[in-house]
Amino acid sequence: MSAKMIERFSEAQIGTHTVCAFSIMILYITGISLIFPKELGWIPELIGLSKMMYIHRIAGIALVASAVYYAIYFVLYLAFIDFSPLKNVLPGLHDGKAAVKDIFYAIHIGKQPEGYRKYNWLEKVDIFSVAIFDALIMGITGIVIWIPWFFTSILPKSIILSLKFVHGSFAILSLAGILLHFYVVHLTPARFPVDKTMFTGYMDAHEVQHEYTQWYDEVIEGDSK
Amino acid sequence: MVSKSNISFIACVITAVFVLLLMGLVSIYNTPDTSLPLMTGTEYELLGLVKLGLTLIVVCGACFLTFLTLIVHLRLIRN
Repeated sequence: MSAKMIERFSEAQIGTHTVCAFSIMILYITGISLIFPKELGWIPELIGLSKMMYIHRIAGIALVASAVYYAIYFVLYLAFIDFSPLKNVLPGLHDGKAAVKDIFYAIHIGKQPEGYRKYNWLEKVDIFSVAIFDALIMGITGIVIWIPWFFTSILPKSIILSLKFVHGSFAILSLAGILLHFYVVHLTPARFPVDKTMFTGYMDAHEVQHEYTQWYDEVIEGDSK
Repeated sequence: MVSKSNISFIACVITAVFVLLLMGLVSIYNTPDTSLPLMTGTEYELLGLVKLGLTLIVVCGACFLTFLTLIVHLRLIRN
């Protein structure tokens, strides 16, 4: 840890985020145009439908692969190196309390809440929505609608056909979630045009002290030991 | 001694195996068969219900996300 910067993200996290970010953008461009062919039909016309679907599937595999990689990495890290990061990642009652305090503070009832732990409740909503909706649900439904004839012996045809709508609906929901993520990390005045923490892995110590007070205290306590 | 780089390497290898298996599965079964059996009337109605349910999920999810954005924005203004 340098004097002014604190390490927030590991290389594995930075790499996973980069792959996820690029693949999700490609998935939106190539996928949403199929849900709204009247409005965005020019995209498959421009790229070519078969090429576009090929790119969509490659990006889908990249997204699922990055999620699988990080899940394995995290489990191995907990098992062999350090178990303590788990408490920072899993959502708990303290996140619910922090969310309620934030909501009250935002609507001018209540005092300014104390700083968060390493990851705040909104960041946990963000990351778990990507893991559950984008990687897990979209991944599974995507594979089924990619090769439906393989699953006809396992799943009823009505389910296979409805999974196409599940895939499309969650894609729209995922896009709405990413817009919130964009607002927080790109359009917040202090972070505009981009929050570099996710790319460098380091965060300014003053920002940590102000925004993530509990984590800052932990880091300082750890350094003094 | 297990290091971060060792763990990263193991995770990479397992992921590569997973991707290769997935690609293998897809390439083996990549024979488009458009003869999916037609749906019965009941299944068609069920599909309509699924669509309705999904629309509700999307609308509720979008409302929740709008609420979160509003909270983030209002909190930002107060700070």
